[in-house]
Amino acid sequence: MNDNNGIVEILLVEDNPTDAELAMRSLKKSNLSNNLVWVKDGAQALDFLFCRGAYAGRDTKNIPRVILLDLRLPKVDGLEVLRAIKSDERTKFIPVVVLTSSKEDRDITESYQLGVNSYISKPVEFDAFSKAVAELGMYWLLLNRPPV
Amino acid sequence: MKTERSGVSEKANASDSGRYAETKKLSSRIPAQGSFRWQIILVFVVGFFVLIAAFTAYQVRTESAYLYRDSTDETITLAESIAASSRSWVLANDVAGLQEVVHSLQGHTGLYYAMVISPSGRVLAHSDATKVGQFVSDDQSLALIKAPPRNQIMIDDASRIDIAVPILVENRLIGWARAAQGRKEIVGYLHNMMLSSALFVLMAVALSLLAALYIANRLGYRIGHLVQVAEAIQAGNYAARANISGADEIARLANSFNHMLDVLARDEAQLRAASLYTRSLIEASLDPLVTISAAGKITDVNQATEQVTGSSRAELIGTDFSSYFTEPEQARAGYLQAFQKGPVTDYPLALRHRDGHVTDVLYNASVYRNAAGEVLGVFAAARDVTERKMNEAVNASRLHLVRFSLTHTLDELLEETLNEAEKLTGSVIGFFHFVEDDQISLTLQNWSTRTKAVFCKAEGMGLHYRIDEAGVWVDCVRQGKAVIHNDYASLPNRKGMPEGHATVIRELVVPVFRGTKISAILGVGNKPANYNEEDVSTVSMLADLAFEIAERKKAEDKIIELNLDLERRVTERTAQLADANKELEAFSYSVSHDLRTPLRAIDGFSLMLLEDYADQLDDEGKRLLNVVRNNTSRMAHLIDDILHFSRVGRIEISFVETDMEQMVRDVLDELAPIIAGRKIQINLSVLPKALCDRAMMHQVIENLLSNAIKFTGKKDDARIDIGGRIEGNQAIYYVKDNGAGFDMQYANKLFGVFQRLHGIDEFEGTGIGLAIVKRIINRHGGTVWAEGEVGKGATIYFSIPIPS
Repeated sequence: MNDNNGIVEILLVEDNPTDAELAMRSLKKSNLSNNLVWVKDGAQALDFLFCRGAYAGRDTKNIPRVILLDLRLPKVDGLEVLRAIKSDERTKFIPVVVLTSSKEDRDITESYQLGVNSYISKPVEFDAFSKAVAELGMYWLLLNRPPV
Repeated sequence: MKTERSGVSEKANASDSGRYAETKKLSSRIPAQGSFRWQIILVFVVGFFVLIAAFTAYQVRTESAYLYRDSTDETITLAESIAASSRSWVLANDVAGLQEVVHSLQGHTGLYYAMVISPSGRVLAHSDATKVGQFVSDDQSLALIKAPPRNQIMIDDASRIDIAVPILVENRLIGWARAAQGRKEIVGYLHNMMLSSALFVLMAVALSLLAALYIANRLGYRIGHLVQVAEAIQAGNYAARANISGADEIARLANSFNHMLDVLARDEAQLRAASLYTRSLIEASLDPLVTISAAGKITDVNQATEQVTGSSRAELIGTDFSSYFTEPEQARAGYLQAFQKGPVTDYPLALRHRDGHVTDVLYNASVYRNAAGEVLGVFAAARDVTERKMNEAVNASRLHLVRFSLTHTLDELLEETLNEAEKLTGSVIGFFHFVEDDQISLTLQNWSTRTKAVFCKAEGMGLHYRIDEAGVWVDCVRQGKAVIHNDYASLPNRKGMPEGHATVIRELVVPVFRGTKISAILGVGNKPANYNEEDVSTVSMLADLAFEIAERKKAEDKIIELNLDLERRVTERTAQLADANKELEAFSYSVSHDLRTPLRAIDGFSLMLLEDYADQLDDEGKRLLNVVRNNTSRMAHLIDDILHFSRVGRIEISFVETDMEQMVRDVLDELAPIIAGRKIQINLSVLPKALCDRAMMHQVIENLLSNAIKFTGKKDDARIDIGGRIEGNQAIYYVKDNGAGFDMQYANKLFGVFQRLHGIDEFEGTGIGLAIVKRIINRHGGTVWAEGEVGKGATIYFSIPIPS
């Protein structure tokens, strides 16, 4: 799913393959899935971002333009991942969008406390889900201007 | 000696009374000078005497005057007739003739003498012939010679009347004719008359005396009777009454007198009864009563005072009131206060008996006055408060023991109980035993502090004794009642004391009964005086109390144990519940997260089929996939609702005063999109403010209004009324619509979770709305109810408490 020049635009952290597929299908429909990396747990996400483990050879300067983060993840929990991202100088400016099934208030509250940029509760209906993912991809990749 | 003396005095008395009676008799016969009868007799006798005497004197006098005048007239006539007969003879100077004339008169009765004399005084003729020719020589006759020629009274006295008549010839005096008549007869007659008159006077006096005596005696007896009665009354015979009949003044007086005596007697009897009554009252009082003079001397006492002081009434009266108290100065200050400042109440003093024992009293004192309002003295009443003080002491002990029991062990309590029993009875030994249920043996539980320290060196705590082997101190168990041994040493069946045991002089042991069985005994010993019934009741009370507290303490220990157990179990259960709650929360979290993911997959992949394989699916295939998608959506809603409902139960409520009208308007604004295009008349009345959680109440209003909007969906003239009122301490609100309504027999199902009264194709919804409303209102302490009718509409009410 990566294109050849190694530029990553979206990091999708999602353990559920069907949800991942649905998300990627929606992004693909809006032509936003070209430079997308999908990791299946929190540990992989952190390894990818900080270029360690399986991603040790990766260029740390190549940071994604947006991270789509599920909260319920194996190994390292999504909130932990968020905390790590937002407390590291190298990654803290990366926009993180929590994309989760949870509508629990405490998840929402904690995410914002940790500095999340957006919190999206995944709608069950695919139409709505698809629309939400496409819109947030557009927003963060095309409209938002990150600091240089 | 004694008898003799009394005999003499009796005799003296008898003679006294005899003399008295004699005097009385005499006095009734011979009136005493100055007495009423004497006066009557005097007036009668003197009156009659004077009257009759005067009358008689007047009669005699009148008669004598008449007789004298008559003799005078007769003498004049006689003298005149001599003069007439003598004239010619004088002229003729015929002495013999003259003598003849005079002589002819010789036979005239009463003639004293008769004579004719010449103007010169020569007797021409005389009834005593010897005197003829002589010249008169007496002064009277000589005076006649010079007298004018008219009738002359020569002598007019009691012995005679002598008249001289001039013999005139042509107014020339030729001589005097003199005639004298004696008056002896008249005098004799008058004398007789006076004699008989005197006799009459005497008779009259005698008669009047008799009459006076009669009247005086009659009057005098009746008055005397009254006097006697009066004297008898004076002497103390109040029953004496006058016995006089008749209609006269005396009888009336006697009646009045008797009546007066009756009234007096009645008043006297009443007075006596009143006095007796008052005295009885004073004597009936168990409280010592005393009257005190201004000088502080006792003037009267009742028997209670005699008893409490040990002195007789005679000894008490006249002595200083204050001298009978332990603190005389205080007693004096007490009655002085009554004299100076007015009534004194509950003045505490202690009366000292002759034998030295002291009675605590409270005095009430106030002054008493005579009819004129002058203070005569102080009336003081004492109330014996020995019993009250004892009761107070006993009550204080009770309170002390009850308090003591709260912070001390059972053993300490029993020891303290024994100390109190010692204190209240003046004992120096105290012991407490529990009696076993079999009533065969007992266990020494404790001794008083003093007993342990001073008297009983013998070890014995916790020792068991068999009642049939124990000494006289368990007599109370054997006899089943309190036992006093005031002469312990002389008891025949007593046993020896163990080594180190105090010598027992007196002993009082009381049982504590539980039902028919004795549960414990409490004993005290060696009071300096004998034990009495009062001690029995005091010690029994303390024993009962100690046992009661002991039982209660045991029960309390049990309760504490049970409570601790309960608390432990509650903690345990709470922890379990908290765990369960946590699990439930984790479960809802999973539900919200994990159940939705597969649903989304089902929906998403169904859609992919529809999108990517549309050309390979016929219409039925597409419809079936859409059914899958609809149900997925519905299930997603159900999950959301479950989560929502559970959240409503968990979230903490923050109460804020809320403007309900404003809240309804806000909700209506939010619902505007679904109202748009509908014709609904919405009426919002005045709503009371509510104290509630705003977010939750917002949810309630939203659910109710959206329900109303939903169920009026098929009405052309939809109408929704929102109203409220205060009823007691509740604020009641309602939302009323004229929509589909419901059947009242299902009213109880209306608020159940996922309960629906309409078909899903009729009205959409999961049936959670009213369940959430009910849950929120219940959590506010309120209630929810509904009224409705199929086709006519429904009204949902809810109430929440208003703060008082």
